[in-house]
Amino acid sequence: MNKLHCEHESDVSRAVRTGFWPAALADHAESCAACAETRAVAAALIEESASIRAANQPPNAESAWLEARRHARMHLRRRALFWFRSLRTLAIVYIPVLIGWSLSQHTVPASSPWKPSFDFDFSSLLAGPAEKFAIAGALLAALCITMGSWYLLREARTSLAHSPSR
Amino acid sequence: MERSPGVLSPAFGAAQTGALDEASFQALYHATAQPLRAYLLHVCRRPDVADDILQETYCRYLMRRRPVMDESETRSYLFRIATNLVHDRARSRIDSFVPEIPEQGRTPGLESRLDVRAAFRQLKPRERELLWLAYVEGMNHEEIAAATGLRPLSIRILLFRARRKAAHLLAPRPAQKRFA
Repeated sequence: MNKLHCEHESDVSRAVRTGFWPAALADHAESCAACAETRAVAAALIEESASIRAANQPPNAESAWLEARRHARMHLRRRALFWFRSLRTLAIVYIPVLIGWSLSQHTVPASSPWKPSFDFDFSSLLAGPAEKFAIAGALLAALCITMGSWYLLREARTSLAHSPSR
Repeated sequence: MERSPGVLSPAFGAAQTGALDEASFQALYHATAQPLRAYLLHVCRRPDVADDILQETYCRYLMRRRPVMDESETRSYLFRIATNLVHDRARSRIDSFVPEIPEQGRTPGLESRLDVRAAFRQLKPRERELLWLAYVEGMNHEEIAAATGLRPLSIRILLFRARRKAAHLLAPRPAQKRFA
């Protein structure tokens, strides 16, 4: 009973599955320990498989398809959310830093009194390193919006209806 | 129980391009869902868990970019996804209580079937997987390796050990007194 492998093992398991036993193989299975073991185990498994299959049917294909589409939509929505959350984080970090930085760099002459004006030059706030910082932030925001929108569009194209070719 | 070659064929033209339409998916599902579910029930022993994993298997299959595969490779690929999901669940201990497949009423041979089931329950999940794939699905060692993620060279010895253990557990015991 210590034989590791017999070359007829796969033939024996096939014979158990199909129920077709050539005489020579049946004789061999009687005398070979490995094949006798294979026969006993395979027969028990086939019986178990038949009882499982008889008692349990898988869910129908239509509901599996719709569930898969729903999963795909959720997956795309999660991807879109990742980009929009990144955009929010970027805004939370960037806006206060940029305002603080710009205000700290911007000096108003003490002699000139403050008066409301509509022709204030905002570009003067973004001078030097602040300008590069702002441009990098704008590019990152554009990337987040583009990627998030791309996934949202793909989600919208993933219909939950059955396809007409069905 | 034998594999029928060509059953999956209609699904393959679309499957190979990565975009599977509903009709192709249904052909694939009808050819593979029942054996896959029986395998999952045998390994994880709970119909609700088996259904969850079955659904997740097809979801992952549809969402992934797949290389060009023939029928046998597709089958192995589906079993591989399902096996990985079973292991993921086992690792995260989602299903903590001892499961059981419900029997549908009293049928002939019920006791012997429960004995067989009890014997297989004593095997490790990996051993149950290997035996099922080899003897019920009729996969060869390379296909089993593809379906389980094990090395093909390990399959022979692992299968031998699993078979030996199962044969020992299934061997008839001397009659025991049930009531003292």
